[in-house]
Amino acid sequence: MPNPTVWNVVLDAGADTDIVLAADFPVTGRNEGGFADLAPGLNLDCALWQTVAPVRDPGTDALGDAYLEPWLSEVAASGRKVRAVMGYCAGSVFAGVLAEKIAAQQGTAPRVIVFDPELVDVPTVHLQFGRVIGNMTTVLTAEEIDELSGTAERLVAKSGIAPAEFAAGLYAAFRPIGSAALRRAGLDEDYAGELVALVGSFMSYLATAAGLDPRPGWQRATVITSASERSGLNRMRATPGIAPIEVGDEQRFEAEHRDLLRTPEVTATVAGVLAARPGADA
Amino acid sequence: MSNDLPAGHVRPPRKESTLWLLDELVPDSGANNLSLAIRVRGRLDAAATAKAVQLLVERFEVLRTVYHRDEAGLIKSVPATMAAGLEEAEHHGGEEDELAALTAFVARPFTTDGSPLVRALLLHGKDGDVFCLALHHAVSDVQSTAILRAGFVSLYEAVAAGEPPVLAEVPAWHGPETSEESRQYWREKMAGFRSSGLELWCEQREQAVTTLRGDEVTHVLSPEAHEVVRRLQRELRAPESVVLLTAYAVLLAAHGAGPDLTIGSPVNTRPREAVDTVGYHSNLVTLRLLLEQNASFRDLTALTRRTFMEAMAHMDVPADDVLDMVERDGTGWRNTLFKHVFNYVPFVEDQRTFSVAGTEAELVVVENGFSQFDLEFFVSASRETATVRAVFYTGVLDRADVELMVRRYDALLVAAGAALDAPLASLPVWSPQDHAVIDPANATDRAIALPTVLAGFARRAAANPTAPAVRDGDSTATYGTLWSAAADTAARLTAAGVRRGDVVALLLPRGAALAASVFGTWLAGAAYLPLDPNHPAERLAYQLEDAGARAVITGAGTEAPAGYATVPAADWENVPEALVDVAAAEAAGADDLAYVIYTSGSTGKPKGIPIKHRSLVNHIVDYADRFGVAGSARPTGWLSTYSFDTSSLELMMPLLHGGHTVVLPDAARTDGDLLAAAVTAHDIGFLQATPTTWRLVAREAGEVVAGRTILTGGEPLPAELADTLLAAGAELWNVYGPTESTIWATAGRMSTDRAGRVDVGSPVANTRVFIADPHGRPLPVGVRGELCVAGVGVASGYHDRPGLTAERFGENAAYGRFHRSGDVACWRPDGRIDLFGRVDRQVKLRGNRIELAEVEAVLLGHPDVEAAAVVVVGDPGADGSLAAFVRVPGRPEAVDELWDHAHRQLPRSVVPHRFIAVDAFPRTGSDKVDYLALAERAARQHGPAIGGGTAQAAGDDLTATVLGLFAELLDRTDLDAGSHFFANGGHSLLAAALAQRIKDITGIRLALTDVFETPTPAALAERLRRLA
Repeated sequence: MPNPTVWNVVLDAGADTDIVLAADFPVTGRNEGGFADLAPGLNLDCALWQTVAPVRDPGTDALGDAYLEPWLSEVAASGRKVRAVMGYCAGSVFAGVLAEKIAAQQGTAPRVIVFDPELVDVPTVHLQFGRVIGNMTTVLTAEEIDELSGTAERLVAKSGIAPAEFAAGLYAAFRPIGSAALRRAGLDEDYAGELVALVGSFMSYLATAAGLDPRPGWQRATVITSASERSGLNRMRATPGIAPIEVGDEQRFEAEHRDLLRTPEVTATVAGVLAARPGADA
Repeated sequence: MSNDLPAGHVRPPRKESTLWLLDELVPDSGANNLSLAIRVRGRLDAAATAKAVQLLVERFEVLRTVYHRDEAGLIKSVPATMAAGLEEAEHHGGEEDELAALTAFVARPFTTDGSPLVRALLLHGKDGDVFCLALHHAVSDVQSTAILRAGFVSLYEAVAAGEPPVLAEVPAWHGPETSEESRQYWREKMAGFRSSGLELWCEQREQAVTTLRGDEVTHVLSPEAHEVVRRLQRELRAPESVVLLTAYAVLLAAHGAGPDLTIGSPVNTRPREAVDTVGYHSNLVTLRLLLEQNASFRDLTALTRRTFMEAMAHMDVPADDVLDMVERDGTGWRNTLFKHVFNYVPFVEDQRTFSVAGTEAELVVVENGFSQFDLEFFVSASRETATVRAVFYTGVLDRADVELMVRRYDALLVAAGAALDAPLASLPVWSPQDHAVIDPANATDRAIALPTVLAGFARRAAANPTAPAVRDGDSTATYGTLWSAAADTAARLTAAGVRRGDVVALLLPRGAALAASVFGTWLAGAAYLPLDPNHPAERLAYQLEDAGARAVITGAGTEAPAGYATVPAADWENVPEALVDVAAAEAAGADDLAYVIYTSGSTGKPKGIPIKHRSLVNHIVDYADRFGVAGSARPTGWLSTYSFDTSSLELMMPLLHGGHTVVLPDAARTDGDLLAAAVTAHDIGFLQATPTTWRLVAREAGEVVAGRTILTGGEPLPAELADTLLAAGAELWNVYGPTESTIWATAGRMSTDRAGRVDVGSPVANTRVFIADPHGRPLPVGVRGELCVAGVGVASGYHDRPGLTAERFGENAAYGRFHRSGDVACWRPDGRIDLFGRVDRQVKLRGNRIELAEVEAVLLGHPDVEAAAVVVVGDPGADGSLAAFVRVPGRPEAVDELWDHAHRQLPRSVVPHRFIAVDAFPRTGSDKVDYLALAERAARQHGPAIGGGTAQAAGDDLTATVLGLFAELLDRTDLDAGSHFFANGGHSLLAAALAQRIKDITGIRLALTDVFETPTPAALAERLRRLA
């Protein structure tokens, strides 16, 4: 059957149309606009596929290229042309890298559109982990929260720790505490396990992103930047030690980071960028 | 990813995982199971059989293949050893019991839990044993079974002889990669193909649950057809298989598939060097044939041959890969490349009978009991005979339809053989059985002696002038009085300038005065135009002007529009008595117009339909006999508004037979008690009404219909209502007919043992019906098309509307002049007709065929729904959805049960998205439901049907339960069925809690991703229903 398994079909436009890809990790169930919100306004005449993040343990599973391989091979197996690759937040890293690899695969370079693109570093992982814990304050005891944040602090303090190692360490600490807390909160073993694995999956996603260099892809990207200071290029520019990030074109909007994908002006702009596809159809 | 797998474990290729997907989508089906069964006339040694099976598995590596599943998908591996095992069973019956045991064995599903994909059975019968091997398609194919048969026989013989052979293992063979050239071929070949054109006009509505349960029909081709096949091989220089396949294509096309037609054809993909390999080395190639109406059988055979050869040259691309190249239609997952498959099985004598260790043996065909395709023809032919085995999916086709299809295939071959160069469209596809059903139903010739209804009335009036003719309130008009009033009216019309051939409008309510006006108009040589005094003035003015009315007869309380000569209706109670002059009735001739009546379609202005006396009298005479009014002493009820042609039979039937009619008040149409009281008071023997009225009667005074003849027409009769009326003791007739072919064209008496859909009977006297395909060809039994009426009742056309007349009326070589009804219908096997609603109410919503009337019928099946109208809101190709308007006056809260009610009986694509309770439906001028207005209203009321923006009520219990959990977990009170979990404070932990609570309450386990993907109460409830 033609339905992809590592991509989630957000828009289906028939089996032989082009595809626009979108990289995001929406299944944390966060209150942020996602590509499903953006899609209807794009008036695409082709399909829109969104990454399904694989279940991985950042401590034990191979990340890097092995992490990307299923996404790429399923696109290649579809025989369809990728018209553009989009990414949101840390997903922008995957967008930049996937676009380059797909360009090599299919011979033509897809457009790149990224929303508040961020390189993933230790603070990003820390921040995101903090959000995960924040969602669980109702089930974690004060001691458990202290223990987790203490672990995070200790890891951060380790000089030269890489984001992947950090993510793996956080997950290793979280797994037993999270499982116990969720069981205590009344979730059965299955759901508790599923939820814990989801955190691992998210940490793997971040750890993988941290190890990739999206800059070649971003160089020709259209960047959509929100008004949130702690997101995207705004944060990158304010972070000491990060070299200026080169992008093809940047469009700024008076919208918060979390609303970026559900802001009508953004949708209109992106629709325009996608509609103009020089050299896309030979 | 595959490099993560242990050595020897691989992800299976796509064509194998697709097979397993089918097992997953239709759980507990053995749809992918193949069989090899050998019956011996004697006993097989169990130990030797088991040993031979074990050796077989050791020899062929592929037979040891097993599949596992991890979260990333399927994993395939081949253990070095595997214990094959042999099951033993016995049966004591005949071949049927044997086959049942074998089918059950073969149909048992295989699984992806690492267990073997081959199993063996030794079945002991009274007179012999059957050895049966069941295999999953992933490790075998039809060709494999032939190889395994030979392998088993030789191994068994060796083991039995005490010389078990030492065999080299045959490694699994892997076919070559598909070539880019082939892929390109299929991309070009399949460009622009849409599978929605493959539907047959005899298909059933898709079932709510796909079972793939199969059945089969076998037909031995007639000697004539077989002779044609053999002759055409030479004449058309085509292989027998191509001739048979071409006829299959024509057969499918005649049943509605195409003209862009695809047929699947299984091919063996083994190259010469691998002919003896066991495994899944077959493919289903798609044969795409663009059928041209003017092409001949000769042309199509050439095209089929070429298409088949090309497909064979590019068979290395698996069907699943080709599937990616076509656009998907609809929401179903089945059959998007082709729905119909053709298999040619060359007959080789020695393959069927052979010997096992000296004992005579033969092959037994054991089906797995499932059909992946809607229809699959297996045609096997030898020099002497050819047999068609038609396997079909019972969820789509009925056995009766397939039985007819194989016979039509036979007839078609014979017809093609006689007309190789005739256009395909002209080839008759009816089987003798079709003729045997339809021809007698249309054999309605009957001589009608009366020239006009007027002449019949005059004779009765002359014979018995004092008999009552019309009871109107407390007064009664006798035949003599009515004649006198009519003569008086005629005289005054003539004085007002009315001449023979003129049109006279009747603008007065039902009653003796109206009856006198009808006959008076005819006595003046004119035709009447019945007008409804309750209609708006503009509509009346339009009809008067369009019909060119010469005068208007008015009654108590009615007034003619300005500019028309007004003739007051006769004061029948005081009119001077006139002698009945039978000869005066000759003022109206059989070919003169009796009336002009106006109907409005769904669009445009009302159109006038002129009906001749010959047509009217034919039908009234037939009805009076058919419905038992002739010879009944009980009166007829006159209930229908006279501006409907149906009203005339309530007046005229009894007057042709000396009986009388009783005027019933308008209010009785909507007041069951009132109607019941009138029926009892007058002991009315015959009464006609719409289902709406009958529903009221059934509810309020059902017992009143006992022993009376009742007629229902004008709207579909719901099965439940028919059963209620029959149970109450009514003699119930369901009638059908367009005004253009005079009142009712068909009638059917309902029997108490009726079941299922309510039919509309068969044609009345001197009337013929045919069901036409889009090219106007009459269709055989069971095939849906447009109902056309021919015969004496058909009008000459619309008054002054030549364009519309040309569009809606036509000439058929066999049936003569006819009217296209715009109704979808088919012949039933009993010669009666089933109706399926209006042609223009068949819609396609995102590729799914929907008959809105069918959906309405299901809703009407709910005890509280009195009326239902379903409309499409939005663009049917894109964001369209179904909205159902319902009348539930007795219990308004029942509207909340309708989603579940509909969901139980309809496939998901057809369940309305919204249910809207209304007090009344908007109506068009001719009192039909105004669907256009409803669709506009639905669009206006709710905007686009998406979650979030608009408040959605929790339409059912399950949604309400989920909504309650949302409210509780998110601690919100302002949520509705469309509220987004994560936009309202939800996060992953709460999502897990939600899933857990749902599981505790419903017992259904949702994956967390279900909550992420369908984060509203309505969507989650829908997903739960699918998982339930």
